[in-house]
Amino acid sequence: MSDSLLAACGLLSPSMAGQALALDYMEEEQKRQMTIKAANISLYYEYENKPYVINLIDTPGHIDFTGKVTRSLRAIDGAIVVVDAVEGVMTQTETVTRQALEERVRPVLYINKIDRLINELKLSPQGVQEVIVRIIKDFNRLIEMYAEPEYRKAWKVSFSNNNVALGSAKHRWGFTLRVAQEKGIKFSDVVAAYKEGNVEELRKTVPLHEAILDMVVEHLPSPPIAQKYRIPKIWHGDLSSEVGKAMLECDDDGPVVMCISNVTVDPQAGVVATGRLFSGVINAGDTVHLIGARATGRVQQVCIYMGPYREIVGSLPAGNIPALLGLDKARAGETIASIPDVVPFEAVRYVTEPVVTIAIEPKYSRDLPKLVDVLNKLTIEDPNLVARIDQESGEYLLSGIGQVHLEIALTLIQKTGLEIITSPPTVIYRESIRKPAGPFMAKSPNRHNRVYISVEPLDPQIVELITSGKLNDTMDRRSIAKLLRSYGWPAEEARNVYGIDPHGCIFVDRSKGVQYLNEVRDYMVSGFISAMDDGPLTREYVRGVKVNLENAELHSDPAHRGPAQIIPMVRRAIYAGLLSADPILLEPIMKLVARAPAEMVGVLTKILTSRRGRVLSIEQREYVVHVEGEIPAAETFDLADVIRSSTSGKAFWSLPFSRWAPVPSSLMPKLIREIRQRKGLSPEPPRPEDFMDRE
Amino acid sequence: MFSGGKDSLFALWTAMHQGYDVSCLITLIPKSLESWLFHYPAVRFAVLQAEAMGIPILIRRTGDSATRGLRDLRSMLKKAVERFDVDVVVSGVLASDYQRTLVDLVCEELKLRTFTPLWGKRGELLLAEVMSLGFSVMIVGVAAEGLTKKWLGRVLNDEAIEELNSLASRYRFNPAGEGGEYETLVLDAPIFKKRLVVEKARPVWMGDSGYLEIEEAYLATK
Repeated sequence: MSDSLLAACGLLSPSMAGQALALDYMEEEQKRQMTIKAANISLYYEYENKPYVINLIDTPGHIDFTGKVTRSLRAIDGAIVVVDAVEGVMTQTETVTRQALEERVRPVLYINKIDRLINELKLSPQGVQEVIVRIIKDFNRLIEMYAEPEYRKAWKVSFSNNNVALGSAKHRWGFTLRVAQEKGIKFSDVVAAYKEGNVEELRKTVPLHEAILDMVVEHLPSPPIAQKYRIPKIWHGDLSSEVGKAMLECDDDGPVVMCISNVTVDPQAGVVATGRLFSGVINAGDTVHLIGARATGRVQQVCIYMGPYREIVGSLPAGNIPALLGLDKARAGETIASIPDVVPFEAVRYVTEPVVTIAIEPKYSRDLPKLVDVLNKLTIEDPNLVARIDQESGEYLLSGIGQVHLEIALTLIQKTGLEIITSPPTVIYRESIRKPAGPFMAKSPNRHNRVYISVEPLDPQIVELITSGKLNDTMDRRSIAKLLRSYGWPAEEARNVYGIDPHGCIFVDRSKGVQYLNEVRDYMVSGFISAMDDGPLTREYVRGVKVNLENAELHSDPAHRGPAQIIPMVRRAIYAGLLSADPILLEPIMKLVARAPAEMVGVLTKILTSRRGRVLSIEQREYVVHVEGEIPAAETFDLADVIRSSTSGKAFWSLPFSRWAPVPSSLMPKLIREIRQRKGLSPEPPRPEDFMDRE
Repeated sequence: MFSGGKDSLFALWTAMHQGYDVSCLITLIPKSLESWLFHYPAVRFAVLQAEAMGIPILIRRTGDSATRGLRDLRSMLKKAVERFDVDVVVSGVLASDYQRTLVDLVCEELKLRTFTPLWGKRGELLLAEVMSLGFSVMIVGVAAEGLTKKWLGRVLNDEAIEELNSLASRYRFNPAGEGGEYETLVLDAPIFKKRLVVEKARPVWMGDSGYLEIEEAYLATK
């Protein structure tokens, strides 16, 4: 579809669109016939003799890439949701539409692959119409379900309102009701065109790009209109402040405020940060603040995207999607501003967490620096990929959202000419606890400081707030306290949050009148984070724990209470607590969403149950049955082969992350030993006594 | 004041080179690792080191608490004044305000002057100087994030010092060990007439700190 739009603007020759897949410009994407990266493009279009600039971001559809969709949504005001006419509204459609509505991005609907209804399913004009009516109904149900009340009615789509288009991107024709009426096209004409092999005529009468772009211009809001209602939703600063007003008005004269939605590393230009400019004018040469990184940087160039190409423009006003060169510290999600202390955009919420890991090593050890470079570049570009060095084994570990996600990352690494050896994929676990424990006392290595710490399970609602980014370390103390108070925390504790670990743990100071505590506070937090990063059972991340600092005795001399003393002391006390608090492992549970012919449902049920999974729902729809189920990620590595062979390839399915759940206690001791051995640790986990100090 | 570690020996060397007449060494042996004032791991070998230098030594066991330590220090200094007519106390304190203030307090009370030649010296520099003077220094205790069991019993050389400095900057501790990060035993120094040989020792590890339990050591000719 994107290619038809490019053709309209003269970037591609009209006959090449459809095959060229210009926006899917990574070689890997064209080979897999899907979009992996979010690609940006700005289009110039004239509608009723008025000029418009349309900024388009083509986002991936595969479930392993939802992180990229989420990030793109921040930058845009409207979305063209593409639904396959044969497959109808799918889980993925639902996920993306829900995310769009949560960011107050207004959707319009494009129903694609009408040609398949005619050529493959041999539907009559009447049949085609019925399918379309059903898809529109299903889509509006999503809006009814997920849109906020004030938009529920206004944002529903219908063919008669011209915010639904149908067509075939492959054959590059399409129309809205208005276009159809103007040009005198009916369903029967379309069916006839295919029967007579006269698609060329159809393309000339109703080219796809006109239908889509007309719909965009007519129904999707311009930046000044959209920002008025989107800013209060996506930005949590003071709306009556200078910055707030400028963003609401999309004011060119206001301070520069830009939210980075995508970062790539270009071999020539270096870090390229792309995002939405909400106010002000950004110029090459400007010095800007990177709020999250607490740094400043100089913008070397301001560019605009034309598919794979960047055009240098020197300067862009509010409402645009500039690509900035020269800001090496920028990452996706960063807020950039011309003035300091701007409240950053809330952390973009990712729908999925990385749960699968592989170990990578270069085939020739001399290539190690190159591997580090490549991994660094990959993780800058895709924050859903996490690279980590295992301290014990020295292995490089790469974690992603699913197997497809990692396979593509590996292909990208190999594309650089690097030969690598990889381990089979393994699942990421979390450590947690089931009851409170402590306080436990620990001494610093030099024996001159003491700390008393207790631990307890953290309220799942708070864990959710943290892992979704709504409660995080960049917030000021007052807003943290206010949020926690609203969840029933006592004022004393809500006010004294020392640290928040993004994997779902919190560190609270409950001590009173401890001397020198303020001077070692940062070290204490580092100790907390280091314990949460490396849980005592298996060195996996810790989730769902509240750590309380109950008391401390600190040496009066700063030389004796440095970080190398305080960090291990705090970690030691936390370990003693965690190991005494009925520790458990949590495993990622995936949601299996499958479509299959009715006779295959039994096979799917059998596959799920034999792999510790279960079926959640079975729903008959038109031609296929929709099956939803749950299955632990650890049981999914051969799933693709098993499902393919036992259903003769007739089942289509996806496997998004669903939740963390305790590993059954019967499997836990063996699993702990396995993970420890894989990481080169002694097979038996430590005992709480190993971390307890005597008075 | 003499613990047998690199700092007290370097302070002693400096004092002797500046013309001080060293009449005796004073060593306090704490009961355990918990002491805030005095070094523990290898203090017992101070006697051998004193013999290697041919300087008299006064030794006393003391408790771990600061009060008990100060009381014993005071009585030891009194004894040194009576027996050797001491008027200056040399100590190897580098950066610990706490240690320095307490020692100053006791000395003032006894009308003794103090000499702290290492005060304010940068850790990396101190290590480099000690090495260039030909000291042989063994690590006998570690207590800091980043310092592992493998350091116990290691004799410092250029490679070890480079490693130590990089760990110190990574884990943010004093590379000279002034915050109690590690303890040393000097095996040989320019002012030694004999050298100390550690014959038998075993590392004792306690999770994130540890010390070298020296079981046998003797003096050998240089």
